[in-house]
Amino acid sequence: MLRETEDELVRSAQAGDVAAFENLMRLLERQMLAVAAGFAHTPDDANDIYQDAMLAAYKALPNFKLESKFSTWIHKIVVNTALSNRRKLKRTWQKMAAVQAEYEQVEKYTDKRSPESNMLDSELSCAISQAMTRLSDTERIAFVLCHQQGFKLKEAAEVMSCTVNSVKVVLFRARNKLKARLAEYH
Amino acid sequence: MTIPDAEEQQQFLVLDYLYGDWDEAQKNEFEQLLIANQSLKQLVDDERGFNEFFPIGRQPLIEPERLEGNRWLLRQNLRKASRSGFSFQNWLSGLAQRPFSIAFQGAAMAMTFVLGVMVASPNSGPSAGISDEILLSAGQNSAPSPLALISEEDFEIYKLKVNHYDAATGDIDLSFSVASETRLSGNVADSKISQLMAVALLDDIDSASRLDTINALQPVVSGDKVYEALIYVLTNDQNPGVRYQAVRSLVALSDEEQVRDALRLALQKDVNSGVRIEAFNALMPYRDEQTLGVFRAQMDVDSSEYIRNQSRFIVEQIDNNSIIL
Repeated sequence: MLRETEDELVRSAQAGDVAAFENLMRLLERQMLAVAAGFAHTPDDANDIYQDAMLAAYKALPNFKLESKFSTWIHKIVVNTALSNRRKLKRTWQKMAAVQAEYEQVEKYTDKRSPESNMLDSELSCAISQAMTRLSDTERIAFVLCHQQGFKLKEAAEVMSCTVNSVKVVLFRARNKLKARLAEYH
Repeated sequence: MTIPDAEEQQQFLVLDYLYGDWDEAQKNEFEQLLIANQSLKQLVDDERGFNEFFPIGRQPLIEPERLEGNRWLLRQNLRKASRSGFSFQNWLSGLAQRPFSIAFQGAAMAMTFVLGVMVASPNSGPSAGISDEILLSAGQNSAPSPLALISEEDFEIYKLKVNHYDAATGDIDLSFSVASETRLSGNVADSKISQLMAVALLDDIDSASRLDTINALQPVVSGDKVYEALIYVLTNDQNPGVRYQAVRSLVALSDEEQVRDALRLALQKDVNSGVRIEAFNALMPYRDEQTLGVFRAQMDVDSSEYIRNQSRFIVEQIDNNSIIL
């Protein structure tokens, strides 16, 4: 999207134009849903995080300053919404997981950004989803942003409101945990 | 570029190589240094090995139907938010951007209207300023409107619009919205509070608040509006965690036919096996035809092994007994 076009859409959305906000989100929606899915227990939960985050973004849009990058700002909102949802829902999820004889509802994983043809087999997708749940919140944010979303360390630090070195520490820890959890697959 | 001795610094360097904003020249220089440094090379090879198995960019797959569904839902949510989400503050700031005379007229009209409502209200007089405490301790049995819990100083009028004004006769037709932010303290056993919370479950509150509300309502679940709201949540809420909490709250009321209807529906239709298992457990003691019909269907199709096995066990038990009889 051209920077001017994005700025124009942001300005219109800030003035309350819902259609402009929808257009603005059209190019980011897949990415934002994938970020939400990186934090959620199930696809339904990810959809819920996405919807809550988008409404929060729409309401907070008048406070957004155009000198910042819109995609970084929106990532921050999705991450914060996901974290607050996870904290609130954690106990319920734990109870629910305890009665679930099997956990058939997990995200399917793909190799690249979007091609559906490169979908991984369900066993590996399930293993990745399970391994991701073992990461702490900050480890998960760092991994989702840097590894899954391709953020540079500096950009991730901006979203996480911390230093680049802090991102590196948690990212390295996250990679080590995942390596250990997924050892039998690689 | 120099290679640090400390292990953590070396790890940082590797992460810079993998995720930093180095250009090709910097990457080449780093790769050259690896030739002479075996321990760092080992570290890089380990990390590269992980990246080959789990490449950068591997992420949850978002299928087009899911994208479409979310787009549609977001549209509905945004429309609702833009209809009801404006604040008095926004309205005032909107007024501030208009010419002073128009802004003044608008504000004066709004204030006049509020005063008019207060003066003309049949409840005006000594009891009009009834406090929340009095309302809450009145113990009336009729289902209250949430508006009954809001005192007059707690609401604001916004989006006032003059639809028609006849200057000759003074007749006027107005439309306006009322917004309120009220804080209530009391006990959840008070029917007015529990019913207000039940009504809120049907409105647009976020999933975390829905969950808090259901948890708080659990001890008073048998209240009229409360269990109806929980049934609504169980059969309509998008968040499986919230539906799960609703089904757990409804278990105690499974003697009610309306609740069993909802449990049967959840057992058949809910995509989440945790929700279905709770619904199934609540229905297990019942042997009426409708419930058995659902067990009969689920014993073949349910993705949960527990539900399939238990349903089959119950159905076979019933069938065997009827053969003996």
